[in-house]
Amino acid sequence: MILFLLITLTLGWLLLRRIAPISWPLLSALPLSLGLGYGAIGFINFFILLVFNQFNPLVLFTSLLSALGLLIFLNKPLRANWLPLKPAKPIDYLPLIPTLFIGALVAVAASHFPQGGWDAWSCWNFKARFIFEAHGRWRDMLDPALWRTNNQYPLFWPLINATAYYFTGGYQAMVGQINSVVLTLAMTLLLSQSIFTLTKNKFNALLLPMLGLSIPLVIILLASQYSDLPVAFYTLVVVVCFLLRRQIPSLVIVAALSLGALSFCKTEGLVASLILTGLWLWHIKPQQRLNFCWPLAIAFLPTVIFQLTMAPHNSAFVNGLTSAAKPLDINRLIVVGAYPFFEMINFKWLGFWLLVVITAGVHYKRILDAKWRIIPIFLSIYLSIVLAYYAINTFFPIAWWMQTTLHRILFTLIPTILLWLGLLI
Amino acid sequence: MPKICLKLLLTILTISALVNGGFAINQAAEQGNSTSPGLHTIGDDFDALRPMLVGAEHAGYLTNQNLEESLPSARLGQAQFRLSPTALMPQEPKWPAIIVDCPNPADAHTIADQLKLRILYDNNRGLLLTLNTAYLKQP
Repeated sequence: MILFLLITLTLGWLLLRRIAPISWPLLSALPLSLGLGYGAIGFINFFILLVFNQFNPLVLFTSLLSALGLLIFLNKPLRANWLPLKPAKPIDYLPLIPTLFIGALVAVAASHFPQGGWDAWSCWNFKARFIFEAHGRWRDMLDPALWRTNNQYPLFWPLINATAYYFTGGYQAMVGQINSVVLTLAMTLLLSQSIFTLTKNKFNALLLPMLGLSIPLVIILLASQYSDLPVAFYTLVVVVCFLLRRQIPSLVIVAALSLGALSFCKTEGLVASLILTGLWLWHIKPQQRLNFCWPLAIAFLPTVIFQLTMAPHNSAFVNGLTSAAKPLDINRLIVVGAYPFFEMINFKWLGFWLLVVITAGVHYKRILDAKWRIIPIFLSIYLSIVLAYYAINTFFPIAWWMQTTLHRILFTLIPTILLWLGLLI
Repeated sequence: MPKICLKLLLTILTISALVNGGFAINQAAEQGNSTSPGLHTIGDDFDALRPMLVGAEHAGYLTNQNLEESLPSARLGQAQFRLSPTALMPQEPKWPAIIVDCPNPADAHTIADQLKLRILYDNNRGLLLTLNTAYLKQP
Protein backbone atom coordinates (compact mmCIF):
# COMPACT_ATOMS: atom_id res chain seq x y z
CA MET A 1 0.00 0.00 0.00
CA ILE A 2 2.91 2.33 0.78
CA LEU A 3 4.37 1.63 -2.66
CA PHE A 4 1.01 2.42 -4.26
CA LEU A 5 0.79 5.74 -2.43
CA LEU A 6 4.42 6.57 -3.26
CA ILE A 7 3.83 5.90 -6.95
CA THR A 8 0.61 7.95 -6.86
CA LEU A 9 2.29 10.89 -5.18
CA THR A 10 5.40 10.75 -7.42
CA LEU A 11 3.29 10.53 -10.55
CA GLY A 12 1.20 13.48 -9.39
CA TRP A 13 4.22 15.52 -8.32
CA LEU A 14 5.96 15.00 -11.67
CA LEU A 15 2.77 15.99 -13.48
CA LEU A 16 2.33 19.10 -11.35
CA ARG A 17 6.02 19.94 -11.78
CA ARG A 18 5.67 19.58 -15.53
CA ILE A 19 2.47 21.64 -15.70
CA ALA A 20 3.58 24.40 -13.34
CA PRO A 21 7.37 24.52 -12.94
CA ILE A 22 7.43 26.99 -10.06
CA SER A 23 8.60 26.94 -6.45
CA TRP A 24 5.67 25.29 -4.73
CA PRO A 25 4.86 25.62 -1.05
CA LEU A 26 5.09 22.01 0.20
CA LEU A 27 1.61 22.07 1.73
CA SER A 28 0.00 23.18 -1.55
CA ALA A 29 2.00 20.78 -3.69
CA LEU A 30 1.12 17.69 -1.61
CA PRO A 31 -2.69 17.68 -2.05
CA LEU A 32 -2.56 18.81 -5.68
CA SER A 33 0.02 16.11 -6.48
CA LEU A 34 -2.11 13.46 -4.80
CA GLY A 35 -5.17 14.57 -6.76
CA LEU A 36 -3.28 14.48 -10.05
CA GLY A 37 -1.71 11.12 -9.12
CA TYR A 38 -5.04 9.48 -8.32
CA GLY A 39 -6.46 10.98 -11.51
CA ALA A 40 -3.60 9.61 -13.62
CA ILE A 41 -3.99 6.13 -12.11
CA GLY A 42 -7.74 6.11 -12.73
CA PHE A 43 -7.16 7.27 -16.31
CA ILE A 44 -4.42 4.69 -17.07
CA ASN A 45 -6.34 1.82 -15.50
CA PHE A 46 -9.52 2.68 -17.40
CA PHE A 47 -7.73 2.52 -20.75
CA ILE A 48 -6.11 -0.78 -19.77
CA LEU A 49 -9.60 -2.15 -19.06
CA LEU A 50 -10.78 -0.79 -22.37
CA VAL A 51 -7.93 -2.13 -24.52
CA PHE A 52 -7.30 -5.48 -22.79
CA ASN A 53 -10.87 -5.97 -21.57
CA GLN A 54 -9.56 -6.95 -18.15
CA PHE A 55 -7.59 -5.72 -15.19
CA ASN A 56 -4.08 -6.57 -16.31
CA PRO A 57 -1.51 -6.24 -13.48
CA LEU A 58 1.52 -6.62 -15.73
CA VAL A 59 0.35 -3.98 -18.19
CA LEU A 60 -0.71 -1.75 -15.30
CA PHE A 61 2.67 -1.94 -13.60
CA THR A 62 4.49 -1.41 -16.91
CA SER A 63 2.23 1.54 -17.73
CA LEU A 64 2.82 3.15 -14.35
CA LEU A 65 6.58 2.75 -14.73
CA SER A 66 6.42 4.10 -18.31
CA ALA A 67 4.35 7.07 -17.15
CA LEU A 68 6.91 7.79 -14.44
CA GLY A 69 9.78 7.43 -16.95
CA LEU A 70 8.04 9.68 -19.46
CA LEU A 71 7.40 12.35 -16.86
CA ILE A 72 11.00 12.21 -15.66
CA PHE A 73 12.07 12.62 -19.28
CA LEU A 74 9.67 15.52 -19.84
CA ASN A 75 10.92 17.15 -16.66
CA LYS A 76 14.47 16.96 -18.01
CA PRO A 77 15.11 20.71 -18.13
CA LEU A 78 14.07 20.90 -14.50
CA ARG A 79 16.28 18.09 -13.23
CA ALA A 80 18.70 20.44 -11.50
CA ASN A 81 16.16 21.00 -8.79
CA TRP A 82 13.71 18.14 -8.29
CA LEU A 83 12.01 19.53 -5.26
CA PRO A 84 11.82 23.27 -5.82
CA LEU A 85 9.89 23.93 -2.65
CA LYS A 86 9.37 27.39 -1.29
CA PRO A 87 11.28 28.03 1.95
CA ALA A 88 8.76 28.05 4.77
CA LYS A 89 8.52 29.61 8.22
CA PRO A 90 7.12 27.58 11.12
CA ILE A 91 3.78 29.42 10.87
CA ASP A 92 3.41 28.17 7.29
CA TYR A 93 2.92 24.68 8.70
CA LEU A 94 -0.20 25.74 10.60
CA PRO A 95 -2.53 23.91 8.14
CA LEU A 96 -1.00 20.66 9.36
CA ILE A 97 -2.87 21.02 12.67
CA PRO A 98 -6.44 20.72 11.29
CA THR A 99 -5.19 18.18 8.75
CA LEU A 100 -3.77 15.83 11.35
CA PHE A 101 -6.75 16.39 13.66
CA ILE A 102 -9.37 15.48 11.02
CA GLY A 103 -7.17 12.73 9.59
CA ALA A 104 -6.83 11.10 13.00
CA LEU A 105 -10.59 11.26 13.62
CA VAL A 106 -11.35 9.70 10.24
CA ALA A 107 -8.71 6.99 10.74
CA VAL A 108 -10.19 5.99 14.10
CA ALA A 109 -13.75 6.17 12.74
CA ALA A 110 -12.82 4.07 9.69
CA SER A 111 -11.28 1.40 11.90
CA HIS A 112 -14.72 0.77 13.44
CA PHE A 113 -16.29 -0.28 10.15
CA PRO A 114 -13.53 -1.57 7.88
CA GLN A 115 -15.80 -2.28 4.90
CA GLY A 116 -17.21 1.24 4.98
CA GLY A 117 -20.84 2.27 4.77
CA TRP A 118 -23.61 0.53 2.86
CA ASP A 119 -22.84 2.00 -0.55
CA ALA A 120 -19.15 1.25 -0.08
CA TRP A 121 -19.67 -2.50 -0.08
CA SER A 122 -22.80 -2.63 -2.19
CA CYS A 123 -21.46 -0.34 -4.89
CA TRP A 124 -17.95 1.14 -4.83
CA ASN A 125 -15.85 -1.59 -3.22
CA PHE A 126 -17.94 -4.28 -4.91
CA LYS A 127 -16.99 -2.78 -8.28
CA ALA A 128 -13.34 -2.47 -7.27
CA ARG A 129 -13.29 -6.10 -6.19
CA PHE A 130 -15.14 -7.27 -9.31
CA ILE A 131 -12.79 -5.39 -11.66
CA PHE A 132 -9.80 -6.88 -9.84
CA GLU A 133 -11.06 -10.47 -9.55
CA ALA A 134 -13.31 -11.10 -12.55
CA HIS A 135 -10.62 -10.64 -15.23
CA GLY A 136 -12.23 -10.86 -18.69
CA ARG A 137 -15.74 -10.97 -17.20
CA TRP A 138 -15.54 -7.57 -15.52
CA ARG A 139 -18.36 -6.22 -17.68
CA ASP A 140 -20.74 -8.69 -15.99
CA MET A 141 -21.03 -6.14 -13.19
CA LEU A 142 -22.74 -3.83 -15.68
CA ASP A 143 -25.56 -6.40 -16.16
CA PRO A 144 -28.90 -4.60 -15.68
CA ALA A 145 -29.92 -7.36 -13.22
CA LEU A 146 -27.34 -5.91 -10.83
CA TRP A 147 -28.93 -2.45 -10.86
CA ARG A 148 -28.95 -2.38 -7.05
CA THR A 149 -25.17 -1.92 -7.19
CA ASN A 150 -25.71 1.42 -8.99
CA ASN A 151 -23.84 0.00 -11.96
CA GLN A 152 -24.58 3.08 -14.07
CA TYR A 153 -22.14 5.04 -11.88
CA PRO A 154 -18.65 5.66 -13.31
CA LEU A 155 -15.55 3.81 -12.20
CA PHE A 156 -13.00 6.33 -10.89
CA TRP A 157 -12.92 5.32 -7.21
CA PRO A 158 -13.24 1.56 -7.90
CA LEU A 159 -10.32 1.78 -10.34
CA ILE A 160 -8.14 3.50 -7.73
CA ASN A 161 -8.96 0.83 -5.15
CA ALA A 162 -8.53 -2.01 -7.68
CA THR A 163 -5.06 -0.68 -8.52
CA ALA A 164 -4.21 -0.60 -4.83
CA TYR A 165 -5.40 -4.24 -4.46
CA TYR A 166 -2.67 -5.17 -6.92
CA PHE A 167 -0.06 -3.64 -4.62
CA THR A 168 -1.51 -5.32 -1.52
CA GLY A 169 -1.69 -8.72 -3.22
CA GLY A 170 -5.49 -8.89 -3.45
CA TYR A 171 -8.64 -7.52 -1.88
CA GLN A 172 -7.96 -6.02 1.55
CA ALA A 173 -10.49 -3.98 3.51
CA MET A 174 -7.72 -1.63 4.59
CA VAL A 175 -7.27 -0.37 1.01
CA GLY A 176 -10.57 1.51 1.04
CA GLN A 177 -9.89 2.76 4.55
CA ILE A 178 -6.40 4.04 3.76
CA ASN A 179 -7.42 5.68 0.50
CA SER A 180 -10.26 7.46 2.30
CA VAL A 181 -7.97 8.66 5.09
CA VAL A 182 -5.30 9.81 2.60
CA LEU A 183 -7.83 11.71 0.50
CA THR A 184 -9.29 13.26 3.67
CA LEU A 185 -5.81 14.42 4.69
CA ALA A 186 -5.25 15.91 1.24
CA MET A 187 -8.64 17.64 1.22
CA THR A 188 -8.26 19.14 4.70
CA LEU A 189 -4.73 20.27 3.93
CA LEU A 190 -5.79 21.89 0.67
CA LEU A 191 -8.72 23.62 2.38
CA SER A 192 -6.71 24.98 5.30
CA GLN A 193 -3.73 25.89 3.12
CA SER A 194 -5.96 27.70 0.62
CA ILE A 195 -7.71 29.75 3.30
CA PHE A 196 -4.30 30.61 4.75
CA THR A 197 -2.78 31.50 1.37
CA LEU A 198 -5.73 33.53 0.15
CA THR A 199 -6.62 35.41 3.34
CA LYS A 200 -3.51 35.18 5.56
CA ASN A 201 -5.99 34.57 8.37
CA LYS A 202 -4.50 31.97 10.75
CA PHE A 203 -7.66 31.82 12.85
CA ASN A 204 -9.90 30.85 9.92
CA ALA A 205 -7.33 28.51 8.38
CA LEU A 206 -7.10 26.62 11.67
CA LEU A 207 -10.67 26.58 12.93
CA LEU A 208 -12.93 26.46 9.88
CA PRO A 209 -11.65 23.04 8.72
CA MET A 210 -11.47 21.78 12.31
CA LEU A 211 -15.03 22.76 13.11
CA GLY A 212 -16.67 22.14 9.75
CA LEU A 213 -15.11 18.76 9.07
CA SER A 214 -15.32 17.42 12.64
CA ILE A 215 -19.13 17.33 12.62
CA PRO A 216 -19.81 13.66 13.50
CA LEU A 217 -21.94 13.12 10.38
CA VAL A 218 -19.12 14.48 8.21
CA ILE A 219 -16.51 12.28 9.91
CA ILE A 220 -18.72 9.22 9.38
CA LEU A 221 -19.14 10.09 5.69
CA LEU A 222 -15.41 10.73 5.27
CA ALA A 223 -14.75 7.28 6.75
CA SER A 224 -17.49 5.53 4.76
CA GLN A 225 -15.36 4.93 1.64
CA TYR A 226 -18.00 6.47 -0.63
CA SER A 227 -17.22 8.15 -3.92
CA ASP A 228 -18.66 11.33 -2.41
CA LEU A 229 -15.23 11.96 -0.91
CA PRO A 230 -13.39 12.29 -4.26
CA VAL A 231 -16.32 14.39 -5.53
CA ALA A 232 -15.84 16.77 -2.57
CA PHE A 233 -12.06 16.77 -3.04
CA TYR A 234 -11.98 17.46 -6.79
CA THR A 235 -14.71 20.11 -6.50
CA LEU A 236 -12.48 21.88 -3.96
CA VAL A 237 -9.41 21.48 -6.20
CA VAL A 238 -11.21 23.05 -9.17
CA VAL A 239 -12.41 25.98 -7.06
CA VAL A 240 -8.99 26.53 -5.45
CA CYS A 241 -7.34 26.49 -8.90
CA PHE A 242 -9.88 29.10 -10.00
CA LEU A 243 -9.08 31.37 -7.05
CA LEU A 244 -5.32 31.06 -7.61
CA ARG A 245 -5.36 31.17 -11.42
CA ARG A 246 -4.04 34.73 -11.63
CA GLN A 247 -1.00 34.00 -9.43
CA ILE A 248 -0.30 30.63 -11.13
CA PRO A 249 -1.79 30.60 -14.66
CA SER A 250 -0.80 26.94 -15.23
CA LEU A 251 -3.42 25.93 -12.68
CA VAL A 252 -5.85 26.18 -15.59
CA ILE A 253 -4.46 22.81 -16.72
CA VAL A 254 -4.65 21.30 -13.23
CA ALA A 255 -8.29 22.44 -13.01
CA ALA A 256 -9.11 20.93 -16.42
CA LEU A 257 -7.57 17.57 -15.45
CA SER A 258 -9.38 17.66 -12.09
CA LEU A 259 -12.69 18.38 -13.84
CA GLY A 260 -12.18 15.18 -15.85
CA ALA A 261 -11.56 13.19 -12.66
CA LEU A 262 -14.58 14.81 -11.00
CA SER A 263 -16.82 13.84 -13.90
CA PHE A 264 -15.64 10.21 -13.65
CA CYS A 265 -16.31 9.92 -9.89
CA LYS A 266 -20.09 9.85 -9.84
CA THR A 267 -23.07 11.09 -11.84
CA GLU A 268 -23.35 14.01 -9.40
CA GLY A 269 -19.67 14.69 -10.09
CA LEU A 270 -20.42 14.83 -13.81
CA VAL A 271 -23.14 17.43 -13.20
CA ALA A 272 -20.79 19.45 -10.94
CA SER A 273 -17.96 19.24 -13.49
CA LEU A 274 -20.18 20.46 -16.34
CA ILE A 275 -21.33 23.45 -14.30
CA LEU A 276 -17.79 24.28 -13.20
CA THR A 277 -16.51 23.89 -16.78
CA GLY A 278 -19.08 26.45 -17.92
CA LEU A 279 -18.10 28.84 -15.13
CA TRP A 280 -14.39 28.45 -15.95
CA LEU A 281 -15.00 29.15 -19.63
CA TRP A 282 -17.01 32.20 -18.68
CA HIS A 283 -14.26 33.62 -16.50
CA ILE A 284 -10.94 32.81 -18.16
CA LYS A 285 -9.32 34.97 -20.78
CA PRO A 286 -9.86 33.88 -24.41
CA GLN A 287 -6.12 33.18 -24.84
CA GLN A 288 -6.25 30.76 -21.88
CA ARG A 289 -9.18 28.79 -23.29
CA LEU A 290 -7.01 26.55 -25.44
CA ASN A 291 -4.83 25.68 -22.43
CA PHE A 292 -8.01 24.80 -20.60
CA CYS A 293 -9.83 22.92 -23.34
CA TRP A 294 -7.24 20.43 -24.58
CA PRO A 295 -6.48 18.86 -21.18
CA LEU A 296 -10.20 18.99 -20.45
CA ALA A 297 -10.97 17.03 -23.62
CA ILE A 298 -8.38 14.37 -22.71
CA ALA A 299 -9.47 14.15 -19.08
CA PHE A 300 -13.14 13.77 -20.04
CA LEU A 301 -12.45 10.81 -22.36
CA PRO A 302 -13.05 8.06 -19.74
CA THR A 303 -16.36 9.66 -18.75
CA VAL A 304 -17.50 10.06 -22.34
CA ILE A 305 -16.51 6.49 -23.29
CA PHE A 306 -18.08 5.02 -20.14
CA GLN A 307 -21.34 6.93 -20.44
CA LEU A 308 -21.75 6.31 -24.18
CA THR A 309 -20.60 2.71 -24.50
CA MET A 310 -20.65 0.97 -21.12
CA ALA A 311 -23.07 2.43 -18.60
CA PRO A 312 -26.28 0.43 -18.44
CA HIS A 313 -29.62 2.19 -18.52
CA ASN A 314 -30.41 3.57 -15.07
CA SER A 315 -33.07 1.12 -13.84
CA ALA A 316 -33.84 3.40 -10.91
CA PHE A 317 -35.18 6.17 -13.14
CA VAL A 318 -38.79 6.93 -14.00
CA ASN A 319 -39.48 10.20 -15.77
CA GLY A 320 -42.29 11.67 -13.71
CA LEU A 321 -43.07 14.20 -16.44
CA THR A 322 -44.11 11.49 -18.88
CA SER A 323 -44.94 8.47 -16.72
CA ALA A 324 -48.59 7.57 -16.23
CA ALA A 325 -47.81 5.03 -13.50
CA LYS A 326 -45.64 7.32 -11.37
CA PRO A 327 -46.38 10.88 -12.40
CA LEU A 328 -44.82 13.94 -10.80
CA ASP A 329 -47.47 15.38 -8.47
CA ILE A 330 -47.84 18.43 -6.26
CA ASN A 331 -47.06 16.45 -3.08
CA ARG A 332 -43.68 15.45 -4.46
CA LEU A 333 -42.91 19.04 -5.39
CA ILE A 334 -43.84 20.20 -1.87
CA VAL A 335 -41.56 17.59 -0.29
CA VAL A 336 -38.69 18.46 -2.67
CA GLY A 337 -39.13 22.15 -1.86
CA ALA A 338 -39.47 21.78 1.90
CA TYR A 339 -37.21 18.85 2.76
CA PRO A 340 -33.86 20.64 2.28
CA PHE A 341 -34.92 23.19 4.91
CA PHE A 342 -35.68 20.43 7.46
CA GLU A 343 -32.46 18.62 6.51
CA MET A 344 -30.39 21.73 7.11
CA ILE A 345 -31.86 22.48 10.53
CA ASN A 346 -31.52 18.84 11.59
CA PHE A 347 -29.44 18.48 14.75
CA LYS A 348 -27.04 16.09 12.98
CA TRP A 349 -25.48 19.13 11.24
CA LEU A 350 -24.91 20.86 14.60
CA GLY A 351 -26.07 24.19 13.22
CA PHE A 352 -23.55 24.23 10.37
CA TRP A 353 -26.06 25.44 7.78
CA LEU A 354 -27.34 28.06 10.19
CA LEU A 355 -23.76 29.32 10.47
CA VAL A 356 -23.51 29.42 6.66
CA VAL A 357 -26.76 31.41 6.36
CA ILE A 358 -25.78 33.84 9.14
CA THR A 359 -22.29 34.39 7.69
CA ALA A 360 -23.70 34.93 4.22
CA GLY A 361 -26.28 37.32 5.71
CA VAL A 362 -23.72 39.33 7.65
CA HIS A 363 -21.44 39.58 4.62
CA TYR A 364 -24.22 39.81 2.04
CA LYS A 365 -22.48 42.60 0.15
CA ARG A 366 -19.45 40.40 -0.51
CA ILE A 367 -21.26 37.16 -1.36
CA LEU A 368 -21.01 37.81 -5.08
CA ASP A 369 -17.56 39.41 -5.02
CA ALA A 370 -16.06 38.93 -8.49
CA LYS A 371 -13.09 37.03 -7.00
CA TRP A 372 -15.15 34.15 -5.65
CA ARG A 373 -18.62 34.53 -7.12
CA ILE A 374 -18.28 31.22 -8.95
CA ILE A 375 -18.74 29.48 -5.59
CA PRO A 376 -22.27 30.75 -4.82
CA ILE A 377 -23.23 30.55 -8.50
CA PHE A 378 -21.99 26.96 -8.69
CA LEU A 379 -23.77 26.02 -5.47
CA SER A 380 -27.07 27.55 -6.65
CA ILE A 381 -27.03 25.88 -10.07
CA TYR A 382 -25.86 22.53 -8.71
CA LEU A 383 -28.46 22.35 -5.94
CA SER A 384 -31.21 23.47 -8.35
CA ILE A 385 -30.33 20.66 -10.76
CA VAL A 386 -30.17 18.10 -7.94
CA LEU A 387 -33.58 19.19 -6.59
CA ALA A 388 -35.06 19.12 -10.10
CA TYR A 389 -33.78 15.55 -10.48
CA TYR A 390 -35.35 14.57 -7.16
CA ALA A 391 -38.65 15.92 -8.46
CA ILE A 392 -38.54 14.46 -11.96
CA ASN A 393 -37.24 10.97 -11.12
CA THR A 394 -40.25 9.41 -9.42
CA PHE A 395 -38.81 5.88 -9.10
CA PHE A 396 -38.25 6.14 -5.32
CA PRO A 397 -40.65 7.47 -2.67
CA ILE A 398 -39.39 11.02 -2.30
CA ALA A 399 -39.24 11.32 1.50
CA TRP A 400 -37.21 8.11 1.85
CA TRP A 401 -34.94 9.03 -1.06
CA MET A 402 -34.13 12.50 0.21
CA GLN A 403 -33.69 11.20 3.74
CA THR A 404 -31.09 8.67 2.60
CA THR A 405 -29.20 10.72 0.02
CA LEU A 406 -29.55 14.50 0.45
CA HIS A 407 -27.06 14.67 3.32
CA ARG A 408 -24.44 13.09 1.05
CA ILE A 409 -25.07 15.65 -1.68
CA LEU A 410 -24.62 18.41 0.92
CA PHE A 411 -21.53 16.70 2.32
CA THR A 412 -19.73 16.93 -1.03
CA LEU A 413 -20.17 20.72 -0.95
CA ILE A 414 -18.91 21.31 2.59
CA PRO A 415 -15.17 21.80 1.84
CA THR A 416 -16.02 24.31 -0.92
CA ILE A 417 -18.49 26.09 1.36
CA LEU A 418 -15.90 26.23 4.16
CA LEU A 419 -13.46 27.82 1.75
CA TRP A 420 -16.12 30.35 0.78
CA LEU A 421 -16.78 31.13 4.44
CA GLY A 422 -13.04 31.57 4.97
CA LEU A 423 -12.98 34.15 2.18
CA LEU A 424 -16.11 35.92 3.39
CA ILE A 425 -15.24 36.26 7.08
CA MET B 1 -11.85 42.57 19.34
CA PRO B 2 -9.83 42.54 22.59
CA LYS B 3 -7.18 39.83 22.69
CA ILE B 4 -8.76 38.12 25.70
CA CYS B 5 -12.08 37.71 23.83
CA LEU B 6 -10.27 36.29 20.84
CA LYS B 7 -8.41 33.81 23.03
CA LEU B 8 -11.65 32.83 24.76
CA LEU B 9 -13.39 32.31 21.41
CA LEU B 10 -10.44 30.30 20.13
CA THR B 11 -10.54 28.10 23.23
CA ILE B 12 -14.32 27.56 22.98
CA LEU B 13 -14.15 26.71 19.29
CA THR B 14 -11.21 24.34 19.79
CA ILE B 15 -13.07 22.58 22.59
CA SER B 16 -16.14 22.36 20.31
CA ALA B 17 -14.03 20.70 17.62
CA LEU B 18 -12.63 18.23 20.16
CA VAL B 19 -16.11 17.45 21.52
CA ASN B 20 -17.35 17.00 17.96
CA GLY B 21 -14.48 14.60 17.34
CA GLY B 22 -15.36 12.61 20.45
CA PHE B 23 -18.98 12.31 19.34
CA ALA B 24 -17.85 11.29 15.86
CA ILE B 25 -15.71 8.45 17.20
CA ASN B 26 -18.54 7.37 19.48
CA GLN B 27 -20.98 7.29 16.56
CA ALA B 28 -18.53 5.33 14.45
CA ALA B 29 -18.06 2.80 17.25
CA GLU B 30 -21.83 2.44 17.62
CA GLN B 31 -22.20 1.94 13.89
CA GLY B 32 -19.46 -0.67 13.91
CA ASN B 33 -20.97 -2.63 16.79
CA SER B 34 -24.59 -2.32 15.82
CA THR B 35 -26.42 -5.24 14.28
CA SER B 36 -28.90 -3.05 12.43
CA PRO B 37 -29.03 -3.37 8.63
CA GLY B 38 -26.58 -1.63 6.37
CA LEU B 39 -23.52 -2.59 8.35
CA HIS B 40 -20.59 -4.73 7.46
CA THR B 41 -21.29 -7.53 9.93
CA ILE B 42 -24.63 -8.70 8.55
CA GLY B 43 -23.05 -10.64 5.71
CA ASP B 44 -20.37 -12.56 7.62
CA ASP B 45 -22.10 -15.89 7.00
CA PHE B 46 -21.69 -15.57 3.21
CA ASP B 47 -17.90 -15.93 3.53
CA ALA B 48 -18.37 -19.69 4.03
CA LEU B 49 -19.80 -19.98 0.50
CA ARG B 50 -16.89 -18.25 -1.19
CA PRO B 51 -14.56 -21.29 -1.61
CA MET B 52 -17.48 -23.35 -2.96
CA LEU B 53 -18.29 -20.81 -5.66
CA VAL B 54 -14.78 -20.46 -7.08
CA GLY B 55 -15.12 -20.45 -10.86
CA ALA B 56 -18.88 -19.90 -10.83
CA GLU B 57 -19.51 -16.88 -13.04
CA HIS B 58 -23.15 -16.54 -12.01
CA ALA B 59 -25.37 -17.87 -9.25
CA GLY B 60 -29.05 -17.40 -8.53
CA TYR B 61 -30.04 -15.70 -5.28
CA LEU B 62 -33.45 -16.63 -3.93
CA THR B 63 -35.20 -15.28 -0.88
CA ASN B 64 -38.77 -15.12 0.36
CA GLN B 65 -38.15 -11.55 1.52
CA ASN B 66 -39.08 -8.36 -0.30
CA LEU B 67 -35.84 -7.08 -1.84
CA GLU B 68 -37.20 -3.54 -1.86
CA GLU B 69 -36.92 -3.50 1.94
CA SER B 70 -33.77 -2.52 3.81
CA LEU B 71 -32.63 -5.72 5.50
CA PRO B 72 -33.18 -8.12 2.55
CA SER B 73 -31.60 -5.59 0.20
CA ALA B 74 -28.59 -5.25 2.53
CA ARG B 75 -28.26 -9.06 2.72
CA LEU B 76 -28.22 -9.28 -1.09
CA GLY B 77 -25.67 -6.44 -1.29
CA GLN B 78 -23.43 -8.14 1.25
CA ALA B 79 -23.75 -11.49 -0.53
CA GLN B 80 -22.84 -9.83 -3.82
CA PHE B 81 -19.85 -8.08 -2.27
CA ARG B 82 -18.53 -11.09 -0.34
CA LEU B 83 -18.94 -13.55 -3.21
CA SER B 84 -17.44 -11.36 -5.94
CA PRO B 85 -16.59 -12.11 -8.75
CA THR B 86 -19.59 -14.45 -8.91
CA ALA B 87 -22.45 -12.29 -10.17
CA LEU B 88 -25.57 -13.00 -8.11
CA MET B 89 -28.80 -12.84 -10.09
CA PRO B 90 -31.63 -11.92 -7.72
CA GLN B 91 -34.72 -14.18 -7.77
CA GLU B 92 -33.47 -16.05 -10.87
CA PRO B 93 -33.61 -19.82 -10.36
CA LYS B 94 -32.14 -20.62 -13.78
CA TRP B 95 -28.49 -20.96 -12.77
CA PRO B 96 -26.62 -24.16 -11.81
CA ALA B 97 -25.66 -22.75 -8.41
CA ILE B 98 -28.43 -21.20 -6.33
CA ILE B 99 -28.13 -19.45 -2.99
CA VAL B 100 -31.27 -19.60 -0.87
CA ASP B 101 -31.34 -17.04 1.91
CA CYS B 102 -34.31 -16.76 4.28
CA PRO B 103 -34.52 -15.59 7.90
CA ASN B 104 -36.33 -18.84 8.76
CA PRO B 105 -34.44 -22.10 7.94
CA ALA B 106 -37.72 -23.95 7.29
CA ASP B 107 -38.64 -21.43 4.55
CA ALA B 108 -35.24 -21.90 2.90
CA HIS B 109 -35.75 -25.68 2.84
CA THR B 110 -39.26 -25.26 1.44
CA ILE B 111 -37.90 -23.22 -1.48
CA ALA B 112 -35.14 -25.81 -2.07
CA ASP B 113 -37.71 -28.64 -2.05
CA GLN B 114 -40.12 -26.84 -4.37
CA LEU B 115 -37.41 -26.19 -6.95
CA LYS B 116 -35.79 -29.61 -6.44
CA LEU B 117 -32.49 -28.06 -5.45
CA ARG B 118 -29.76 -30.31 -4.03
CA ILE B 119 -28.34 -28.80 -0.87
CA LEU B 120 -24.55 -28.53 -0.85
CA TYR B 121 -24.20 -26.36 2.23
CA ASP B 122 -26.58 -25.46 5.04
CA ASN B 123 -25.64 -23.10 7.85
CA ASN B 124 -28.83 -24.07 9.76
CA ARG B 125 -29.82 -20.39 9.97
CA GLY B 126 -31.60 -20.15 6.63
CA LEU B 127 -28.64 -19.86 4.28
CA LEU B 128 -28.26 -22.66 1.71
CA LEU B 129 -25.98 -23.20 -1.25
CA THR B 130 -27.69 -25.56 -3.67
CA LEU B 131 -27.19 -27.28 -6.98
CA ASN B 132 -29.97 -26.78 -9.49
CA THR B 133 -30.61 -30.37 -10.63
CA ALA B 134 -33.34 -29.29 -13.06
CA TYR B 135 -30.87 -27.06 -14.84
CA LEU B 136 -28.30 -29.85 -15.05
CA LYS B 137 -30.83 -32.16 -16.74
CA GLN B 138 -31.40 -29.70 -19.55
CA PRO B 139 -29.63 -30.60 -22.81
